[in-house]
Amino acid sequence: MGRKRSPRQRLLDTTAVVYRLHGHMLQQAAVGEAVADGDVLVQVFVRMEYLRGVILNLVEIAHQEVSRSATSHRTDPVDGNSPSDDRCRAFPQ
Amino acid sequence: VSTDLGQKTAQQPATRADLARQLLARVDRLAPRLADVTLAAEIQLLKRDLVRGHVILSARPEDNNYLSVVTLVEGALGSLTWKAYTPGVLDALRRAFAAGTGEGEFTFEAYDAVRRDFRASGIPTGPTIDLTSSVAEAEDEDGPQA
Repeated sequence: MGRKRSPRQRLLDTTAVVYRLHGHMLQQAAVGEAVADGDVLVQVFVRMEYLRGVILNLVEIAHQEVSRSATSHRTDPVDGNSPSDDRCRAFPQ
Repeated sequence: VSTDLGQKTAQQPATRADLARQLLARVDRLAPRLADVTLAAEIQLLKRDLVRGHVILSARPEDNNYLSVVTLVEGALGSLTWKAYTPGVLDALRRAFAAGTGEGEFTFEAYDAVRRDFRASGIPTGPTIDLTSSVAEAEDEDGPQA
């Protein structure tokens, strides 16, 4: 009996990871086909950088939402007072 | 798609500065090919050099933030087709690579400056979530809400 060969290991670079996770259907298929005969490896560094990208984008979305919210509520449409004026009214000195 | 990171070649740069200069030279080769299909092949060569940069940069902790720049560029290139390359994109790539040509530690602030420059230049810096499209897609899947 022949020795059982372990599957080939395929190391994906960052671009291939982006193709696989976010690419066009054809890009995803191309990566899937390229790694079909082996185990897929992704460097820990690349994984962490990907996560950092996700987190930074979430932070920036939150920041943009806060800025947008502050801009839209800066002027009260009824009496023209700012939110800080409202706080002063709610908590009189 | 897959690359043997351990593969050595005669042009393998020895330091971060060498790598940065090599990457800058690659970007200069892209410029005359903009809007031409031969650009795609040059981009593949740039990606190959970027992948080889992992070996050099991961060996020195003080270069790890430049390795983050390399990974950032790799991710950005993965999101761009060759038709999307403009002089502005190439300028942003030059600024990113040029930051690594100096000596000494490459700081997180330098990396963050590159990331912000990419965003300002309209280059994708990672997976993004479009809140407006998510709402539209959810409505398409679930049907209009009463």
